[in-house]
Amino acid sequence: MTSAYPIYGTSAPVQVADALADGIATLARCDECDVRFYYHRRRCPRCFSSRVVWDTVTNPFIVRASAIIHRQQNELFSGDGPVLMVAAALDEVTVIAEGHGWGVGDRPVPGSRVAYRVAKRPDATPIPVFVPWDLS
Amino acid sequence: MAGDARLADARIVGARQAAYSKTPTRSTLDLLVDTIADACAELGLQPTDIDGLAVSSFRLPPDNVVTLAEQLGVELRWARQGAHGGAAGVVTIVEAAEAITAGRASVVVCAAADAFDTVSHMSLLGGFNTGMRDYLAPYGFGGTNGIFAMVEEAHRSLHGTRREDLGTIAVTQRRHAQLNPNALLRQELTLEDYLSARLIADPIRLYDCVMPCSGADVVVLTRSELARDLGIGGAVLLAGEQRHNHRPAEALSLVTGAAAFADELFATAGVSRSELDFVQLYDDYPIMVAIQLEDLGFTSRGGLGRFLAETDISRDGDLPLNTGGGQLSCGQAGASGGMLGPFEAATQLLGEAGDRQLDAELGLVSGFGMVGYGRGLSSAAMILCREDTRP
Repeated sequence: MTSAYPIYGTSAPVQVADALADGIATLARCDECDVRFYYHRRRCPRCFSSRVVWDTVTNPFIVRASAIIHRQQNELFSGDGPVLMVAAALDEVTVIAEGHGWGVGDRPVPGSRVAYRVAKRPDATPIPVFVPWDLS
Repeated sequence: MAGDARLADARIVGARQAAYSKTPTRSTLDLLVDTIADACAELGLQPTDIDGLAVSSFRLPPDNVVTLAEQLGVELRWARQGAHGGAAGVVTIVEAAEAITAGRASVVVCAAADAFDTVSHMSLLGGFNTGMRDYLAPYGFGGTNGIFAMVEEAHRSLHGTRREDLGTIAVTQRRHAQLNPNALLRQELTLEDYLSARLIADPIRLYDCVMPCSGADVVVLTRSELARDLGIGGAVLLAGEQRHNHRPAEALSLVTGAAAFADELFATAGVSRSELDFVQLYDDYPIMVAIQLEDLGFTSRGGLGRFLAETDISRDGDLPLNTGGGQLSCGQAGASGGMLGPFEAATQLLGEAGDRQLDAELGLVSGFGMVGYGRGLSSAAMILCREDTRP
């Protein structure tokens, strides 16, 4: 992995990065109309309110789909082995993240439960991932 | 007379394509200048004749549509920069036709180009936009293969979509490419080749993916009176629609914006799906061809297998699909991938398709692209016909 593309970049508020550093995965929510969304937007994408807050996630998420990336398109990641990419939903919000805890070539079944939580990369930087529900 | 009155006075009179190449042989700016100049020269148009220009390109910066005009020596009354990824070709042509019909321009060149190879294409995608850069690229998911692998997986899970049916699309288009001298991939492709190719992003394999390349595509439109002066009947746009960020709250959507405008598109054009002589559908992946066939009303959700059993999509069949081979066989020259379908449609309707010429009067072209967080954000489509066969 590489830090050339830091998670959240500069597009999320500092408290989101702080929560991540503390091992807390978050989702955006509009404090005005209560809609949840991901990824971060400066204003609520439903009502334009600026009262966007980040809540600690509740689990489980439900798997919508997955892919096993055999050949990363970005050369910075070309040395990485097969990587599991998982899209899972918490109610109306779909989040895409790496899957950890499945065997090589294994993947979650659509409709199954997974947990969204913070893991550490080999260089100790935190990043949100999905893990099997029974490992959560 | 059928068709959208707002597009009625525009004619597509020319189409030109630069030689596609696996690695850049010219800069993006040079590709655009050469291909536009060649297209105009073919039509006998001088720089002073052109008063409208639209360009779509990822690698044109620091240049843009206005500095491209400076390079070309053309003075513009109308200028557009396509920012809709693979939908930009259709979007700019429809808007050019509107501008001509409204009297805001007389001769508009719609151009797209990118000087890409695989490495430069991939480096673009990591920072493509905020959603991809900050929320997907950190995992190495900066490219589109993983996203559309998940789209295919979700589609299979919900609708039972079979790899064999997606393979029929890729194999048929490859056969079409064998008649297209500018297609980069012309060797025979069998269904077995497709199904057993190496995995890229499971379930997507090698022949589900387009090959990044360099190239340019140009379509020229004029007022109907000028088309007559040029001695060209040309092609008429009967209808054109676009939709961006359809279903804003959804990521990993299995529905494109085409679903929102398909019925209106056909109603405005005054034609039925069964009357079409071809469709040029944006084909960054076979699964997106399948989804657009659903969205545009050619089949029901999950109906690809039944559709292919009932419909021959080969050039000799009921509904020829991507008659030049599409991006899957020609290569994807960046934003020019969105002008490839319009180029092929124009070439067919102008009778300039050479060995792959169809007896075609009426066709549909779609565009799709600008991948954001988990989905393509832009969709567009147009229906066009030969001027002399206008319904």
